[in-house]
Amino acid sequence: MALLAVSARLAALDGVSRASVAMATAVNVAAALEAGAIGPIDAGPADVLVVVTAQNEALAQDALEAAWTALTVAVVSGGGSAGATADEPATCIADALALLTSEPRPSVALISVPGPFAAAEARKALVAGMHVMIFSDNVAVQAEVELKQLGRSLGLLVMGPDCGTAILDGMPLAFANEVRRGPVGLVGASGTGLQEVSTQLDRLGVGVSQLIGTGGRDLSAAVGGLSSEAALLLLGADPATEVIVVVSKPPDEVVARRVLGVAATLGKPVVAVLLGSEVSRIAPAGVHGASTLAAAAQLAAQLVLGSPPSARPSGDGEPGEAVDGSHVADGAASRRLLRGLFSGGTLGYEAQLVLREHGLEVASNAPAPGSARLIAGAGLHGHVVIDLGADEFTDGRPHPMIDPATRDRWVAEALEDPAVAVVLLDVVLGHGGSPDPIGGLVALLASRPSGPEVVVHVCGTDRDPIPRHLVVEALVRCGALVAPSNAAAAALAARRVAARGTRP
Amino acid sequence: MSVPTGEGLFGPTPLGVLNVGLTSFAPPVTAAGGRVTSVAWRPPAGADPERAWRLATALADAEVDAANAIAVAAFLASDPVLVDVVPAATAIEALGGGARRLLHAGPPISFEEMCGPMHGALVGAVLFEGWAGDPVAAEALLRRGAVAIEPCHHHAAVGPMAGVLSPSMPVWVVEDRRSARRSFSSLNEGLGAVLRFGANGPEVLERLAWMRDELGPVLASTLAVTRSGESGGLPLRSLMAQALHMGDEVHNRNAAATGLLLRRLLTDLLACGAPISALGRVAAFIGGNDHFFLNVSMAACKAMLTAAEGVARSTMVTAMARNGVRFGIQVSGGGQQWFEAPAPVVKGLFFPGFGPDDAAADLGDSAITETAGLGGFAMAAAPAIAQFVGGTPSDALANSRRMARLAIAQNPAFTLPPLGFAPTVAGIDIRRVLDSGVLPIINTGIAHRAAGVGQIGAGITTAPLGCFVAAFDALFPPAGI
Repeated sequence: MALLAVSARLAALDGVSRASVAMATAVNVAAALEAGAIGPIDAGPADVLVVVTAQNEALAQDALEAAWTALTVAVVSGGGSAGATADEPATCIADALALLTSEPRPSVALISVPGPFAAAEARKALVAGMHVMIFSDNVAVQAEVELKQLGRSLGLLVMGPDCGTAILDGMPLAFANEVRRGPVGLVGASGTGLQEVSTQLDRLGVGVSQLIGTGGRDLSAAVGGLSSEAALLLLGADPATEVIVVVSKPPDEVVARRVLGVAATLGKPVVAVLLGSEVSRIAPAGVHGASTLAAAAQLAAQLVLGSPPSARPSGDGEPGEAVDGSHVADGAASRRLLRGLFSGGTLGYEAQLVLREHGLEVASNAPAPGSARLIAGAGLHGHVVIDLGADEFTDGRPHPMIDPATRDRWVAEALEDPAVAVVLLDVVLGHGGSPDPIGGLVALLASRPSGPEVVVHVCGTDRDPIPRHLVVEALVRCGALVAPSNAAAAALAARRVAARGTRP
Repeated sequence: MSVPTGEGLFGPTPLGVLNVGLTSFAPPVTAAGGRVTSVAWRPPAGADPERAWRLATALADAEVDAANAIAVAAFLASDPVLVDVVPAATAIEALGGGARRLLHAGPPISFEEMCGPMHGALVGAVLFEGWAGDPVAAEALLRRGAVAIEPCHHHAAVGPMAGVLSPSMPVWVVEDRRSARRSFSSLNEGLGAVLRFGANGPEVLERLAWMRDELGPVLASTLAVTRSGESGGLPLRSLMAQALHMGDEVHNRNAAATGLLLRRLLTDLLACGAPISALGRVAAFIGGNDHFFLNVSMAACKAMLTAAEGVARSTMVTAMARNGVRFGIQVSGGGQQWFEAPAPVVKGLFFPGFGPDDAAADLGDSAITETAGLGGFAMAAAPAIAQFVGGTPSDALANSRRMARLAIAQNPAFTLPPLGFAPTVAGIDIRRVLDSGVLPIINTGIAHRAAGVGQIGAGITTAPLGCFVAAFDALFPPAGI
């Protein structure tokens, strides 16, 4: 019966006058032989004999292909008739792609599985022809290099591992802020660094064309800037991009020199902020260097606008100027220390550099050049900046930008520490982040009788899922000082500590 | 090097994102006009990161794909034809020449390790062969190793449940017309107190004797007539395909196939020259056993899968079998090696008075049907037994669709009407099992753990992941080993 149905379908095709689809029984084969449709063949009742009479060979070939398709309807694509159950969700990339019923197919795989498994998933996605963004961290550097080389050989971009953010033609991936569209293209080996630059640009009224994270280690000697280079070439060719900003923590200088060399050949103005490295020493002439993320945004805005941008007030004053809540700081002379607690790795990093510039000796679990390394288990002494998004905090636990519970525990402890004068924090808003980024924090601040001053930078825009101005208002209400940029917050914190005497 | 073109990253087409991991990343993309395809990801490869990386590499290995294409093409090209019934001693060399040897289901196992039903069946076979006069003596013989015991699978044979074959038992002979290789299986005894569930009382031995003395010879004469016909035997692929369209999955439901078999053989049976009284007993025996075709189905599946064996680097599963203690699989690129894990307990429905505590672990060679894409894989074709194995017709459809994810290719010879005549699975790929975490499902009967009680239920079980992990590690060893 099924074969008759296929026969009828073939016969209905344009240019096909007759079609017969039947079991290759002796009787059927003999009939076809007699009709001159076939020569002697080696077929038995277990085979299917398809005979087509068509206007020309091409049409006949088409009909044979249609027969093959009709005879081999895939179960996966679900020739399901009424009563068939819906497909169960795919548990792996191959199944998800096989179950797709409509074009176009996904072109980017966003991978946020536990780090030790991420490289394998990325490899599958690349082999399937997709660009890859690996949000996961805790991926071995060897695997990163292999993936990026594979991507390069396939003409595909590998963003990450440990790539927190991307905006592709306005589409936010992972942690991305709702920033206006515009002419600035960003490439960065630093997720929160990119978020800070893009939101600062937004404050200045300048929009973003593309924002491409490359992963924290891309500009290391081991990885060699494979993804940064590819991303820069993409921005060079992207008609929406007029000005390019490169963002990184201290890169390997040889790698950075090569990558910035590529940037300088694209025929578009380039701004570079390589936190902790001096751009002018590394970059070819013509690349504009900036020392902070906010300064990079300023420079890029100036290049776009042709004149220094005028900052747009967004309820929290001009850059460099803090909103001073009615804080309840305890001015005891014993309080002399700064405690920085960061969910954004690059923001903590930049803060260390700014604090050092202001004369503070800082220790950190993710030390910037000039900072001491905190020794695990040795307790906290002196001025300390903790990166709560570092691998040791996220192995098996959500990132503090997704679940601020870890951050809040550290804040609670700092608020009760009699030696702490200033707690410096970041709050990173945007897509992908916690639905309640400051609930716990506000409760802590509101309930403290007195204690350290709290200086906060809120990285975000007023169009983010949780608007920045609401967060700022809530924090100010419970006595926090809110600065307009991360660098400004660190500078403010440093001044507050200095006012109490810098020697711990 | 090729420079990324940006195609698919930015440009006129809204971004399509495959989201593997945190579900919270999907809504912002959708809200911005992008399309999100989600993966309900779970750790692959037995949740071992190092193996997961090897798996990702193996999945992209074109040599393996090519080897699988060869193996699956051989499977699809095989043409099993029922040609004969002969004494096992004649068909299987290892059982000939007066050797005191018995075959059993599943991967190799010692007598000491075996479960109750298999003990009972082996004791019964020793009694049947007259090697001992009573069960105690028979067991003593087996315990001291005076009777060799080997897997059916090592001798191109398969047997349901305990799967015990002894030299004088009649066996079905199925020939693959492509390779001329032959596969064998025992004849089905029916339900109740039967050897395959470990029963070995007089009733069981008497039935076996009748099968040896009358059923076997009558079927042999019948098939001799059949062989003289146009097809040189009874082609099984088309018969099984037809049975799938009549509500069988040819593992746990063989009602249609048994009817078809009897119908195809009827004329030859009448022409075989046996006395009418014998024909009456044979017809009544076959007609009274809905599972009579099961053993034929198994031998046919074994024939098809044997064709796919021995292709270097192929990850196609060529056998799944259980000995009541361990579940074992063979893989085309792994030769005759068994990859084993503890046999699972079957989830299912129990006959009144029995429960899970009474059940033996999964047992029998009948999972050869699932290996060939039938049985639990073709459950969609057999809604009538969905309930019998503890499910609903929509579970049956879902099972077949899920199993399709494990397929190397599709088998257009066997189609599933309720799924729009979708083809069945041609070849289980161990890489696909490890990647998806979807385990092959098996429709099966449940034996009582004690010898001879018989079938106490039926249900669905899955092949344990451990077998596939072991096979994968053997085919794709970790670096440095």
